[in-house]
Amino acid sequence: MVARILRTWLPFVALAAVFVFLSVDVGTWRWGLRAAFPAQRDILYPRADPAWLVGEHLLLVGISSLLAIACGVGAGVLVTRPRGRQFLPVAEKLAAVVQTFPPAAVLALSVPALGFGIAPTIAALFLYSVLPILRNTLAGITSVPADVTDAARGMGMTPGQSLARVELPLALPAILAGVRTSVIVNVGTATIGATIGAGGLGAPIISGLVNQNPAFLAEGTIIVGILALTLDALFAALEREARRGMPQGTAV
Amino acid sequence: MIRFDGVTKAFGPVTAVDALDLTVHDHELCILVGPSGSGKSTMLRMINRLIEPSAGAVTLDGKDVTSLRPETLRRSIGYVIQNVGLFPHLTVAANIATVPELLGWSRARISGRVTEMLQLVGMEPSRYAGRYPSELSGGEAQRIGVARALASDPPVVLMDEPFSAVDPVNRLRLQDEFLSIQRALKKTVVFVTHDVDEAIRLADRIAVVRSGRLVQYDTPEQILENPADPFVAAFVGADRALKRLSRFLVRPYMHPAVSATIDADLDRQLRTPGVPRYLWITETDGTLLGSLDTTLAARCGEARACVSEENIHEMAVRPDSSLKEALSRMIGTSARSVPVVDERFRLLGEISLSDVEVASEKPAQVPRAGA
Repeated sequence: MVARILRTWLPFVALAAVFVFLSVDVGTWRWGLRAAFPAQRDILYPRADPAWLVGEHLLLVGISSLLAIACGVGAGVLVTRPRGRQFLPVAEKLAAVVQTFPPAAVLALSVPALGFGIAPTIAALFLYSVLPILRNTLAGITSVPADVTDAARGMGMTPGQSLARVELPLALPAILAGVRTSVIVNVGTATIGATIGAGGLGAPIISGLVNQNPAFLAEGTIIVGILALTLDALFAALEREARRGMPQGTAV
Repeated sequence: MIRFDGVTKAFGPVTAVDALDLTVHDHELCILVGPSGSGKSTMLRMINRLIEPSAGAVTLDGKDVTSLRPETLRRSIGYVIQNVGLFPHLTVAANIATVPELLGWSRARISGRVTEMLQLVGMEPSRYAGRYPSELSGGEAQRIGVARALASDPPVVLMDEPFSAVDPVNRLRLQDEFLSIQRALKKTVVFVTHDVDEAIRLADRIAVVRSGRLVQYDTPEQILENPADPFVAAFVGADRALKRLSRFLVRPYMHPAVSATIDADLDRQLRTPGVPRYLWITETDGTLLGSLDTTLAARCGEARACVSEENIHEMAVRPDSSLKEALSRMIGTSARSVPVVDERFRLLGEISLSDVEVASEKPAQVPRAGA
């Protein structure tokens, strides 16, 4: 029991500790970057602390991902209900089309509509995250064995109870896999938001590129990298918990 | 009592069930049997409204099933399906608790009931309650399927090919276990199968179905003895005399066996005048050891050396074995009579070919297997 919990959660806890340490400890950054780039005059991105940048970045990723989960899972559930089934192919196509736009283009296009800053960035990230979540929700729900849903109905579950007690729990590992992909991609893509003033960990990266300052670049990319690894470990652990008891390979 | 009154179900141009009239009596195990695609599953699923009839009515204790909310109706009817349909993300205990939970039972009542159900199907609660379905064998999963269907103690249970996906050996075991549960609980059971042997073994009454119509509805004995038409005769098979034997137990036909004990006294026992040619030989505690041909004993010097232990395990039957099994063992071991033993292999008696013949001539006077 304890061993299982440790095995599942240890990678996440370890990475999260490293991430939190790097987010708050400015001293280590100053010392480390000075040692790595002795020639640079400016060592730390001057306009904000790492913790502030992390906060902005998490806000961008968090809001856009939560919206994408709500819409992706919601739409996935709706089009697998008997009344919504006719929209299933449409939903799949629509999500695939949106995915083909490059994120920079979506950003550029959304500026005239939403202005500069956080809103267009969140909109672009959201559009980008919906597809994997929708696709995996559909795959997860449609792969629930017919015998199992037949048993649920035959034993007297209402459609809502069947969804909440049987279909969604069985689709959860697949849904989490989709959310995992989306969130990890979002962490990276959100850095582009800095080009239109959304802040976040993209700010030191863009600034480092513009000013040819590798120290700024390192500050931004290292934290983004660790953040992505941490979230990946988090979702790996959640998936493992959701898959408990299920035979390997039943979910997508 | 379940009644079909002129029930028809059409799927587009295909009529799956055609003007069905059928009454299933309380506490009876009624088996719908027929080739695949004959509409028997559709009939079953109209009882708990998984399918709605196109015409006619299904009534349960005089009440039209469509007068109830489908969920309410289904929670009052046990349901077992072929591939079990256990919820893979829930433990065995949680699976069994499904309907009681839907009915809003208290936690304490549910956990008591789960333990009771696991014991009923012969699975140790402490070992199995916390397992997941993926950790069960096919037979174990099917037992949990039965336990789950009986958990809320519904008066009516529907079973759709419940044992078809299990291997033959386990299927026989599951059938026996289910029969003894049914004898104790006396549910009204509607059971669908395409396996005639299964139907004959288990049913109180068999409904033979063909192309959505009821061809014959009667006791297994009647179906075997007087098939209504050539279809039924062909469906139950040319071996229907043998199949009938599967309905009778060894117990009422067995008789005391002539035996000798393998001890120091054996040779003297054999010299008793009038000793028959063949003897069953037992240990002093009654455990069956083998057989002895007394005419050969003289040549062996010591009789003990002549005891044949060969085949003895293939020969022995139990009092609650069927006559079909006894006959099969006689044929398999070329013996005209076979020993009847208890669970510890102690000799209880013997049954011979002539006993089986008696049974096949006048079976109606004795209790049948499953009664």
